[in-house]
Amino acid sequence: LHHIFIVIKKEIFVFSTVKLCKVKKTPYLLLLPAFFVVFGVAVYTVVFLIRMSLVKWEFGLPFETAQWVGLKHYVWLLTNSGSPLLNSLKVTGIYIFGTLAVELLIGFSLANLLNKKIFGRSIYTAIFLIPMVIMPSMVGLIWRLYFSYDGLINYFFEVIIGVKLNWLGREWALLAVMIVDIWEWTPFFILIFLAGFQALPTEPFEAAKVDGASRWQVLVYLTLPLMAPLILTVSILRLMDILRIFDVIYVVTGGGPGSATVTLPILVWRETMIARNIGRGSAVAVMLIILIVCLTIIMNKLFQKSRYEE
Amino acid sequence: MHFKFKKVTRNKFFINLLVLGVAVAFIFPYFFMVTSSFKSRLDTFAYPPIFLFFRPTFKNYISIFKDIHILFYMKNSFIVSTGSTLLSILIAIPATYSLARYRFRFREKIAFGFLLLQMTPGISIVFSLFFIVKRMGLNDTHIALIISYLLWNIPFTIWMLRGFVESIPAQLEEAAMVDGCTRFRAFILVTLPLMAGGLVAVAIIVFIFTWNEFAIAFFLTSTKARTMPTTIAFFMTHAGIKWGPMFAAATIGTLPVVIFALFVRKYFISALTLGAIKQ
Repeated sequence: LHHIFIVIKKEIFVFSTVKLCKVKKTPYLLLLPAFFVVFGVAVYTVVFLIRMSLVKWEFGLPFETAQWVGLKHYVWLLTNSGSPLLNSLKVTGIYIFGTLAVELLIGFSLANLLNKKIFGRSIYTAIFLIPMVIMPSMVGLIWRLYFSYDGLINYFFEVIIGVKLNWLGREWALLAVMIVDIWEWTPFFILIFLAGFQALPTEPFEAAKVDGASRWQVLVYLTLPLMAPLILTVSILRLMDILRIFDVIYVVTGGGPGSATVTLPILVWRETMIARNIGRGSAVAVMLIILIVCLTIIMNKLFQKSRYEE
Repeated sequence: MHFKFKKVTRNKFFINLLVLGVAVAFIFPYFFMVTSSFKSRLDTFAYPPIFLFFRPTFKNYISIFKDIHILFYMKNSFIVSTGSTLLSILIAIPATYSLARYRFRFREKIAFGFLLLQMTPGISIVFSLFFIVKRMGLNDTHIALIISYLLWNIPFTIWMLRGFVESIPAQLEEAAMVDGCTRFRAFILVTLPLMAGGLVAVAIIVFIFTWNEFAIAFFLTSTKARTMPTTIAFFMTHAGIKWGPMFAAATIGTLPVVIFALFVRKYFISALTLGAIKQ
């Protein structure tokens, strides 16, 4: 009898949970705190940002004194010949493609080497973690010293090539900032690709070996296609990350000299704080957010694809 | 045969050497930073640079503790990072559970909304945040920073934890519920202990991100709530940069992070890719 009683109890319990699932209030209730904090603050902030981008607002005066100017800032940024936007897009583009190309290349080849039987692999992975976890603002400052005329980089340059460069001058500043980025983020690619290599299936490679494929053929026809989704995902992630970097460039060059290293995030700061034009700076910020939203949509499509494939 | 064997070992030797060389190149700037923090002013600017053999001095460390009061800013950083990390974990756990275990309308849309927020550049909304915080009279307070960081930390935590919860079979919870637990108790007693390792790792990573964050802290604080990364402004004076103390501050500010990161290095890559790559 006792047994039957338990069974009945279980039946009732299962019944009640099923019913609970049908009402489906719980999932929303559980999400409520996060939703309230995150979206509450975010929506308020972004709405205020958009309002800021539509007014002419003198620095230091209360917001009530601001004058509505509509889309004037956007139109100016997109059409005026004095607009810094085009130059900034150019700088950001060079920065993105330059760093991504080098980081992908070094990351891929070094991960490939590390994947072989290497002495002390775990020590290497620990070493490669360091550049990306230390404070970017401090990283910027130490590299600023290394790039000074009598600094570390010029010392090595003089020893190896015999010339000293004015790294933080107009011609080389962008390259200098890119080198810092490469130092910071190549390890990220190395570690990710190493993880990717280790997750690859072994059978196709054994089959290729049996068929007598050369090392080059294995790389082009097997490894690269198998790694392609990973390479794409990581590149997009990194691309978006570059569109968020402010601290390192701010500390190393501050966007200068002139406007040689003004990437989009730096442009937001420059227009708002240096040019003291809150409206225009906010307009750049809104454009940056729109760009990020588009990229996130693309990335999310890729993520979901890989989720389904799993 | 003998020759071939030799060639293979030689190749292996060169590969090892190459990897070692690259690793040295990557660790060197950090190594130089740490050693420079023990150099006197003259040795810091010596050309050619002095790498190993110099007379160590603790002057720089004494200077940052006495003149710049670095401990005060470290305390601020600690309060803000810990507060924001704990709050975001607390708020994110129920949300994660909901996204991972229930099926409901707009589920993926909401998850995507969190992802969007996580991706928003701090610098793009910091000035808007600044004016809002100022209007509320909260500028230069810990609480303003903590709440601002939640904007990025909660979505990140949700995205990371979701994978952990999904990897724990729901049948375990159902079994506990059949035995008479409520869903809440089943989660606390069964799922939570199983994801504890991941939870700690995510907490440490969120802590590191918050500890390192610059832009928000730089524009939202001035003196009372100023955090470690923004103290660089103290070293960039009109009379040039005070390099010695700067190296000392950088060493002290990065050391805990490096140690922490080594503890969670298994999780770090999947964290930086928002769980897209599992290690």
